[in-house]
Amino acid sequence: MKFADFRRKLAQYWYRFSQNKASIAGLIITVTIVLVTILAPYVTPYPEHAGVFVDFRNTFKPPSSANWFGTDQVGRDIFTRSIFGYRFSLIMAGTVLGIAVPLGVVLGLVSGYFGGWIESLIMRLTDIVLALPPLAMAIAVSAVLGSDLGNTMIALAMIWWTWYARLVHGMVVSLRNEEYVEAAQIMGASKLHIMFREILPNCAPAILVKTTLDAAFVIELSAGLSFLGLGVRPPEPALGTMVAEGARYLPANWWMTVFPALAILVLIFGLNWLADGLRDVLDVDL
Amino acid sequence: MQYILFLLRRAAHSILVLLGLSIIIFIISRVMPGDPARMALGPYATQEQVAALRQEMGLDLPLWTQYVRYMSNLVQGQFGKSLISERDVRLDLAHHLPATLELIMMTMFWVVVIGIPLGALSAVKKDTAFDNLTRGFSFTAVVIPGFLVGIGFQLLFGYWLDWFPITGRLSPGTVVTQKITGLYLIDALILRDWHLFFDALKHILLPSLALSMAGIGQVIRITRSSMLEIETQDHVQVVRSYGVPNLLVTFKYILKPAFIPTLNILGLLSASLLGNAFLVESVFSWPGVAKYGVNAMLQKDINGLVGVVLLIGLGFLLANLIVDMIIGLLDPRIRLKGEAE
Amino acid sequence: MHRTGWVLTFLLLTLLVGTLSVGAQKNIVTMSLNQGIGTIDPAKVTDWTEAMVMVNLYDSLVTPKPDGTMAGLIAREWEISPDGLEYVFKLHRGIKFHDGTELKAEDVKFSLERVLALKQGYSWLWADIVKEVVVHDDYTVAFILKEPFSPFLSTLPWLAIVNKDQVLANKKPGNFGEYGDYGQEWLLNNDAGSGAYMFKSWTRGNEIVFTKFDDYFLGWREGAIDEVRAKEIPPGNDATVIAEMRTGALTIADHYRSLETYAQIERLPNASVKTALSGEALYLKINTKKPPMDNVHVRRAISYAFDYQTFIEQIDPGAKQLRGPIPDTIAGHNPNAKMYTQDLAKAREELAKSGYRPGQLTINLCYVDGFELEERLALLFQANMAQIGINVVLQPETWGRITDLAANVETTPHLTAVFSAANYPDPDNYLFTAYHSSAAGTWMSMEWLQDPEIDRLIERSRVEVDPVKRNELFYEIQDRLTDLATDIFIYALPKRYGMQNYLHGFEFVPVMSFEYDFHKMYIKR
Repeated sequence: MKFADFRRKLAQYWYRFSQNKASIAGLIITVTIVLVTILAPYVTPYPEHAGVFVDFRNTFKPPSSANWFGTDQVGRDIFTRSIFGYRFSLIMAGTVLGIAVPLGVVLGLVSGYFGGWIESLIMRLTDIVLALPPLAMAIAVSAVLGSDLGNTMIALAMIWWTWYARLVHGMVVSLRNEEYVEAAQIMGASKLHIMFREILPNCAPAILVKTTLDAAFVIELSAGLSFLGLGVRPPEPALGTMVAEGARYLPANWWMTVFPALAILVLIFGLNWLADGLRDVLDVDL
Repeated sequence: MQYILFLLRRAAHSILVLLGLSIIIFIISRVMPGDPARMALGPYATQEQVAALRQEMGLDLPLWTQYVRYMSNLVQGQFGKSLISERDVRLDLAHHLPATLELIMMTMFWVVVIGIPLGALSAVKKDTAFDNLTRGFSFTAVVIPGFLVGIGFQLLFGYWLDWFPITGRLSPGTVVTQKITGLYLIDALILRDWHLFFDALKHILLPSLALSMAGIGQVIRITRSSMLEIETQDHVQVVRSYGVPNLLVTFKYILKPAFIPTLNILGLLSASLLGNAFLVESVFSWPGVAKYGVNAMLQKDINGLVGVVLLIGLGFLLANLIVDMIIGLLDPRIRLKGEAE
Repeated sequence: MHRTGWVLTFLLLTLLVGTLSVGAQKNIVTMSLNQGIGTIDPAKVTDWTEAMVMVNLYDSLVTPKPDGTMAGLIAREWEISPDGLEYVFKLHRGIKFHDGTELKAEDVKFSLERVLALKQGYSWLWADIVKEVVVHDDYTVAFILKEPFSPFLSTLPWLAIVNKDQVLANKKPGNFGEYGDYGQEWLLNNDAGSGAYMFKSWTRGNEIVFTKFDDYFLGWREGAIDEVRAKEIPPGNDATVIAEMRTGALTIADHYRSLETYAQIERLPNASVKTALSGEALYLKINTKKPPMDNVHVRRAISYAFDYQTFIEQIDPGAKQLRGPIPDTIAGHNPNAKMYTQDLAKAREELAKSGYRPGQLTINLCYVDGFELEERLALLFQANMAQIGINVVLQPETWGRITDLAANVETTPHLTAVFSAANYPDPDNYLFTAYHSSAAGTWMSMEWLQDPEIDRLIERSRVEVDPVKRNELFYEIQDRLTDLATDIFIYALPKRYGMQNYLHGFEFVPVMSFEYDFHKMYIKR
């Protein structure tokens, strides 16, 4: 594909994408949150509150101009901690999908393309892993590995690759008998070339859309895990943990729960809108 | 005959998956850090007591021997004794299961009575304000995590409006005079104990609604889209052109076939609910299997843990099998396709 | 379709009906439990919820009074031999078990033997101490000790008397010869006691119910409580506790709630909060065998760096800092023991003496996951230590896991927040199980002190019969422990209880769970 073609196609995509207000909102929300999270130490009013910090004279302060979201049980600014809490969510989503997507895609390609016992083995493995709800599995695995961030992410990645393996496997099975693949085979292209150069590009849009959707899903799951107290060590802020901590002080100190919960929702909605827009543009049916 | 073969294949597949699951959970339960024997005996146990219990549980044997023991017990349906309650794990599960089942059944009830009508109406009234609103609702319902919905409900309906209790299954003082199914709503109906019925209903309403949101959203989406898809098919157009009343067309020729994908989703939902109820149960202190499972994991009750995980896996597979069965009956194409694979 | 419609209408109607309240003629008391009950077998009791059940279903020879001394319960009177080796108890006549049979000396003997054979629960209290129990007649029983053990009497509230005949009638095959399984399986779901209340039902993970035993030998007063319901409300659901205290669905809010919760209960018109200085003390137990905490100067440095003032003023307002390991409510407390206060200059000086540099040390602090008070303490400690350049890694764990970590000196964290249990109101309760070498390897002894001098002093205090000489020994031990800075001694826990105003007769007793004695309470509106 020539560069000019590529640019024209991109412009087309963008036009279709920009027609939908929700997609644009999703894009803006997601980009803003990612930027704000990266720049958290510079854009939050009290960055020191995300670390080792206590101020017992300012506990349980309701929202005010000094603390937009109020303060928590040891006097830390909830707005600051919510922004820093996004770090946990985003690192989690990035790492889990960063491991799970390539792993799942490669295994899906291999099993779909080669078939035979490799296919049986990989697909039965995905069946087993998928027979467990991800949350239950994640709790079990993080209980085994101890509750710290790295372990929890490994646990989730070990579950998550199966979805991609299944998705790609399905597509490869339907594509492997397509004419252009057969043509490439006849022309003596290597198996690697066919898998990664001929088949994979056709799966890419579906993978992209699913990854965006799953980012929201992993974030939801990480919030669920941290809600149960798995995954982070205090004083590290995590939105789920903040919601759970705040829930102890309902209804009087509602701000401790409500704002972190809203923070989770904004990010999840943003990613879902973005995924919806991408789905329309790339014409993917998931 | 083909149908039976299809079912047998599915069943064999399920057993294979269950076997794999049992291996995974064995590994998990044996490599967990910490000593289950010590945690079982409580804070005042001496070293000798711990050693004695380890021996009794077979934890001092080589892993391979432990595995053989574990599998032979599982095959006989034995999970062993829970280390926390000191009872047979099956008893514990039977004790906690009805609460979860009741929650799931109530949840599925909402999914069906809210999701399907909204989805169908939204398809019938395509592109109206109602349709847009419903689709917006469906999107929101799918996206919001259930435990946050739960907390929101608690705050709104529990604390602020004070309409419903915030946690638990029954008010203190409400007595279940006779345990029949363990599902309080059904027991109350059988016993005609209206006080019990309303009390149980008041308690289950918020958690079941919170848990049902995602399902309602999915069912609206799938019902709407499959109805619209069928709407455009030739035979429906033909029937319409014969002048068959609109309502009849909707019900007989569209809703019924459109129900197949919905049924599929319902099956998958009820299966996954068994595991996803974890967070909602924890928000509402619902005394169900999920709570038992989390406790078992945290307290290293390895036998309890194995029991819960296998139960969830088994539930998931059974629900899938049942869905396959029904769909196979409703739609011959699917079972033939399954055969071809 | 129309059936669904019917059900819907029906459901809507039910919503409209809303709250239906029961007309209660009986005096029912409901209390919250912050954690579940593991067992109701009195020989296996370990934590406060289980002890609460035991106190109400069973009787013991003696029972603690509010001042920490012992009053007779089923024992009418007793005599202790001058050498401190023999305790002879005379029992009341006509005490009935719940099945109507009479409680006799043989049941006392059996109860202790059962506890010692099962080796669980509180058996450690008597395992190396009691030689034998001799039944003189139906109403006289003697305990013969291996060597004098001065706090013996104060341990006896933990010996719940079980009905021998009933237990043996329900035994299953087991490892205990003629005693089968010692009735273990049966006692999981039944009681065999003579206590003021009888076991009624127990839905695990949810609620336990017991009802009044009409034939209780101490009789009943007007307004007595007919039924007790204790239900589990996890610490994360304090909001439920507040809501139900307001509606009256809950009569007693237990003592493990957050301070915020008590503050809100205090504001309710129908309820109030009772506070008592308990015998439970909070320590940060220092693993003195794990570098760098094996260095006494590091231990002193962190003792000087902690901000006690903020803790007792802001985190648990109105509390008092602990002076040494023994709370000042216990006779034998040394009022002149060294008390560390925050002094960063001294802290830095001690750190310099230790040979470590600021910024060089990273230590971990373990506490009970989700326990709000300990979590706030941990965050405060972490911030304090940062001021003298010590990094603290927080390690929240479940209580079960902490008891597991305590089994080995390698796995025991540098510091662990632990409440000493108030098992018996005697200094020995705070010293032997924590600092004597033979007690190492439990959650109570996470200091791993193993100091020969301390061992010798504790051993002498246990066999010393003269109270004055005992106190001198206790003073010496406390001086040495504070000098060695084996723990950060934080404070004696003020226990708070939320209660409906119509509940009367509650009396604080400095032994775990004995204040939840419902026989003493009554209702007057």
